[in-house]
Amino acid sequence: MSESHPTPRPRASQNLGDGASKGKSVSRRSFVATSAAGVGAAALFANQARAAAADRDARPINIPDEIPRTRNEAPDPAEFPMNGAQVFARACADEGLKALFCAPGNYQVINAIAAEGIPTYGGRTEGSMCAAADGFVRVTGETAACSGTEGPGFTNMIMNIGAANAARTPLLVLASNMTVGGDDTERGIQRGYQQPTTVGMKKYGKRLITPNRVYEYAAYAFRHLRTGVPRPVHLDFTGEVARARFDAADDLLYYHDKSTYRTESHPYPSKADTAKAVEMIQRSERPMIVASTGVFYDRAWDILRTVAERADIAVVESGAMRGHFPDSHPLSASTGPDALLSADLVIFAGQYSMPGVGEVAFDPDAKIIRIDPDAADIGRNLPVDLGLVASARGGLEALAEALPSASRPSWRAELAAARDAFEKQNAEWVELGLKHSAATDTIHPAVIAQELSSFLYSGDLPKEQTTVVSGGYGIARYTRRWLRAHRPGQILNGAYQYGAIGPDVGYTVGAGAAVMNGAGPQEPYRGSPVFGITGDGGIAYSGMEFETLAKYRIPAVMLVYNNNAWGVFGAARRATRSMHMYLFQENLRYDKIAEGLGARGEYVTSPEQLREALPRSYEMAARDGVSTLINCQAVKEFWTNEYPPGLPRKVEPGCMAYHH
Amino acid sequence: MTPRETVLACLQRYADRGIFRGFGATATRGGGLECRFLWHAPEPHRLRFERKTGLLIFVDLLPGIPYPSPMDHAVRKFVDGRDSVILPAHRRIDPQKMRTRCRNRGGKMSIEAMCFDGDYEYTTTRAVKLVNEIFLDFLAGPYDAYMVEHFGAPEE
Repeated sequence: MSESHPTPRPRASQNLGDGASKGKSVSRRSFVATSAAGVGAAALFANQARAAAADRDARPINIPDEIPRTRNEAPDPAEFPMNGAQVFARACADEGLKALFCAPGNYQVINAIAAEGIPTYGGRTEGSMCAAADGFVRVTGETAACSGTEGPGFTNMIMNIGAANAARTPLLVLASNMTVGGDDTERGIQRGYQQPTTVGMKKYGKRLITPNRVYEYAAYAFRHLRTGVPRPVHLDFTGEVARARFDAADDLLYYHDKSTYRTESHPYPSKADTAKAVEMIQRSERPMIVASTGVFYDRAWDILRTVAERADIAVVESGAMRGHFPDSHPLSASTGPDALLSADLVIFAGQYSMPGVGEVAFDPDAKIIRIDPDAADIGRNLPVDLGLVASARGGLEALAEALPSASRPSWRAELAAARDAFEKQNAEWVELGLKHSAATDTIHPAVIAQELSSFLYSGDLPKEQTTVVSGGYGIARYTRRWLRAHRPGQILNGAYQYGAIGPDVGYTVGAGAAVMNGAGPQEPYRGSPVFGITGDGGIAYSGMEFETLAKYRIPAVMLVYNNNAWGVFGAARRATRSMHMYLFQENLRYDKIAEGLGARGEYVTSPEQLREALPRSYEMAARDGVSTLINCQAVKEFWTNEYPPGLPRKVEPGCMAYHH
Repeated sequence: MTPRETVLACLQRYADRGIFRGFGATATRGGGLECRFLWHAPEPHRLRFERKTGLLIFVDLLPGIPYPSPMDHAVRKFVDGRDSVILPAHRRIDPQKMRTRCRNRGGKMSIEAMCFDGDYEYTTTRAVKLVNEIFLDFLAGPYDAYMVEHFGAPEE
């Protein structure tokens, strides 16, 4: 299954015992050090010999028959009599829950959800499966769930619940939680109160302790997930609830159709406020809409386009995903950061994570309108000239009804010039990157970004086809500049707001499953491979999920930027005794880990090798469903002034944005 | 309105809109003004207006820039380029109305704006926009380590 790849060229730091071999004079200290290194080298060679022998004896990595067979079994929805878990699963099916990602635990609930016919995925850690569910939601706008077992399984999810909360993801977090009857006893293992742990990380949460209210609390969950500003909902199931038996619907205190417990209506702005907004737009010479997360979850991309084109209003994206306004549109400012400072009116639509003054690159004299369904949030952080209490969809629909046509040709021309200037700077940085690559015998991140972009958008693939999980730390400072969004849900902004760099492979599992299933706006691209990007810091957190990609034949290509260090190693440069904490061993082979987990690995150390690896990996994913980890070797010094532009900063909003 | 009143009114508008926080202004001898406010840095900016010279000075705006140095040169180039015809007209400083200049004393760069024609509202507004562009455009380039070290920007 693994592809042959070039043998890595040895680097100076790998040459153990180098000094002695060159016949230098040997002090006692260096002799001892050299001897130790020699012993180490001998041990290394012995290990390699053992590994070679083990390779000869290795059995092929195999997907057992039970996996495809049980996934393809016909759904078996429960009928009364049902247990509590089955009642809950029925509610999930009624609500159109699109996927469940879990590690085993919470057994009654995950088994019941699977039996309903909802696509389910079992991975290696609850945390990464939580990220997978988040990733699924962020590229589809649909609702997905994650689940883990009580105690450790649940707490393993915490980082990624936090990330989902910051990204305003409507994520359903499920976990089992022992029994009410055993509370406070420490009888057995894995006891812990879950709801206090997610305080500040959820929109709604409940420990389910009253069996005959289980459907009612499912309604609470979906009401919160499907209305207003989304955030995670956390339910923990006690055994008394999950295992309770109900012979008929009237055993439940609350058992109704979803049309009776929630609404599909959107909050709409008042006529007076809409009129004021229209007046401000008409007075503006250079208006701009910041189209954020709420536009995507409201599926308001068509009405956004209508409003923008009606009056030549520029649009710049921000948020946890990109693509609800195409980068290639003449009114797009997402890849034209120079234009932001020119806007004299800025309309924030669906921007739930609100930046403060100085966090967005707008002119201090620009007027601000904010469209948000939560009146209490309007005016937070950034002072506004007008607030429209409305969903992104409601606000844009109201503007579409009231806004007269207008033409702003000079504004369009300025947007085009700003996009050209950005591309020119990117190209200049690639030229520098090529020189740095040649000088270090590695690949500079500007070159990686350009090669990836060229493959995705300028080659044989339709430019709107490939969904990309844009993750990583330093590498993302470059790849964000080169990734392009042409349709809704095409780019998942991994580090958005919470700045978690670890969930990237988890996000890729979720995005890959979404595309594989054709969920939401991914439907036209069903089955296409997805791409992911992460760093050598991030891969450690979720790299084991390559096994999940392989197990489910989710086609993905993951670029791992390997610069032998945490991206923040600069914090140690002037410190004493610190640098070792920031560094890894050099030239680690993450590609080999992927191979060991049933996926492919590629190790590339030059732009040419990457250019060849991309189509080779894509083809394997598209044809055979085999994922690849491309280990891109770089050096940490690319983040220093020695290799300009070093670690470039960002401009928000737009394609570089990840804070807000 | 006197020049001082014009400058103060202009700055006060930014404070009233919530752009400047903690805005405070003190009249100085000879019709001048000394202002402090929070905006782009964790520490207050100092803005001085000198009536006699017609200068508005963002005092020690950018610390930690040795003279001479590539960064000093780059800041000057950026500031000097603000009247370039390459910029859209609405972003361009009118050289007939004002002139901008950088001054580096002991590694601290101040930005000066001199009013030529008595239009202090124009000079004040443009000086504020210039500083905004220094932080949101110029320093958004390859100055990550600088922003972390001197402005407490997050490492992440």
